[in-house]
Amino acid sequence: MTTVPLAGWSARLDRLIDGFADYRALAVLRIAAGWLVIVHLAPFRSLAAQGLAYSDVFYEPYADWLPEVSRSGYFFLLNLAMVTAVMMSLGLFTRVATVYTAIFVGYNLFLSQTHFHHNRAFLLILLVALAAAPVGGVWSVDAWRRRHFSGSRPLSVVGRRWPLSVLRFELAVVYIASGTSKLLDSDWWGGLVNQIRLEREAAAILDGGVPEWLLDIMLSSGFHAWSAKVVVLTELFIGIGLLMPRLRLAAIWVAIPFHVIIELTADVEIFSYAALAALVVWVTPVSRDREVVIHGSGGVQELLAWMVRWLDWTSRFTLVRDGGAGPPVTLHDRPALDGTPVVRHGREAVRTILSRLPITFWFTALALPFRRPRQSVPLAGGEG
Amino acid sequence: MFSEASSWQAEIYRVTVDGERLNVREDWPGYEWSQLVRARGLGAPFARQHASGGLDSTFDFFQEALDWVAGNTPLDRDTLWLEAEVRYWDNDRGPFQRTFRSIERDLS
Repeated sequence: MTTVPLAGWSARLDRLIDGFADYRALAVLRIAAGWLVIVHLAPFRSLAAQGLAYSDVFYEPYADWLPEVSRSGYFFLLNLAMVTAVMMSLGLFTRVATVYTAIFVGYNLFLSQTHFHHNRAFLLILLVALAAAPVGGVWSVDAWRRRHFSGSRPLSVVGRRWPLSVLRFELAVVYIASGTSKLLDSDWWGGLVNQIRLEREAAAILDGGVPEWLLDIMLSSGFHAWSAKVVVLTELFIGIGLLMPRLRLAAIWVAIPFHVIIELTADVEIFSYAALAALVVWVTPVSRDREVVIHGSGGVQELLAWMVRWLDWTSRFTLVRDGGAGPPVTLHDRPALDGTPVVRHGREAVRTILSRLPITFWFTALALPFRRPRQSVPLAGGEG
Repeated sequence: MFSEASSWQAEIYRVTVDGERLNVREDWPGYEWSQLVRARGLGAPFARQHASGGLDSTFDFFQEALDWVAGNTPLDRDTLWLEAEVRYWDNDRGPFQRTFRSIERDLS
C-alpha cells in the first residue's frame, strides 16, 4: 500500500495532534498546580472542619444524575485530594495522583453550580491536561527513585502532542473570550465598570497610601474611558498573540504584568497564579536543544553556570563547562530557519540565555529585538 | 475578570401561618440565614454588595437559595414561605426594586 504524506493544513493539524512533544517544561506547571489545588480546596476544607459538607448549606446540583456520595465519603475524598495534590507537586506516583486530583476537582466543581467560578474552571482545564501528559519524568520523586534505586530507563517526558495543543487552544480562548465579552459591553468598553469598582474601593486605596491627587485622576471618567480600552485590547492581544508564533514572546511578556496587576487590584482567587504558571505551556516543546559552553571559572562564569543549572526550569539548555581557552560564554543557539548554525558569544549569549530562564525572562526579553542579527558561523572545512 | 460592577442588597422575610411578615434577621428561632447560605455573597445580602457573576446570575442563585432554605428548615413549623425585597443597581443605573418569593412550605 502506498502512503501519501499529508500536506498543508492537514499536515499541520496532524502534527498538532499526533506529533510528539517534550513535556519537560510542564513539570513547572505540575508543581505549581498542586499548591493551587490546595488553596482552591481550602474553603471546602474549612467547611469540613466545622463538620459541614457542601450539602449542609445551600447548593444547586448541575444534574440530578450526578452521583453524590455520603457526607463521610465526601470528607474522605476531599482529604484524599489534598494529599494527592501534594503528591502531584512532589511528583510521587505522579500519574495516579494527578488523575485523581483532576477527577476530584472536576467532581467537586460539578456538585454544585455555586462552586463554579471561572478561575476554578481554568484550574480544572490545567489539571486535565496535566493528567493526560507525561509530566512526572523530571523534577519529581518518581524520577529520582528511578535514577537511584531502579535499573529501569528514566521516565519518559515525551508524549503525543494533542494534550498540549488542546491546552494551548483553551488557554488562548480564555483571553479571547474574556476580551471579546468586554469589547461588546458598552459599560465595560466605556470604562464605567472599572470606574465604579474603583469608587467603591476609594477609601481603601487612600488608606493604602495612594495620594489623593492620584486617586482623583484614577476616579475620573476620562481616565477610565481610555484605560478600559487598554485593558480590553491587551487581553485580546494576549489571546491572539499566544496563537501566533511571531507574536508569542511578546504576548507572554505582556501577560506577566497583566496578571500581576489583576492580582493586586481584583479578587480573583487563584486565577492570577494559575495563569502565570500556565505560561510555561507556550515554551517550545523541545528541550535542551541549545548548548551553553562556559570557559574558565571567573565570578560571572560561575554565576551563569549556577543559573543555567538551577533556574533553567523549562530545560532549554545543555551546560558544558570547558576549562580550556575560549570566550567566557558561548551559546550554540537553535539554527536559523535555513538551517545555518547560530552561535552567540559574550553579552549577546548571556542576554539570550537570561531571556530563556523563567525568572529573568521578563527583564531581558525586551532587549532581544535590539540585538545584532543572527550571525552564521562557518562549519568546519569552510563549508558555511 | 468581573463582568459588571452591579450591586444589590436584600431584606428577607418569612410569612407565617398567622399572616405575619417577620424579618429573618430579627425573628427566626433555630436558624440564621448566613449559616444556611454561604456561597457567592448570598449569605450576607443585607448590606449593599457587588453582584458576583453579574445580576442575572446572582438573582438566579438567590431565588434557588430561597427555595432551598424553604425546603431545608424542618425545625421551622410556622413559616409558609420566604419573601425578599431586593434593591439593585445595574452598574450606575438604579436603584431598582424586585421581589422574590420562595416555594410554599408543606407544614403538614
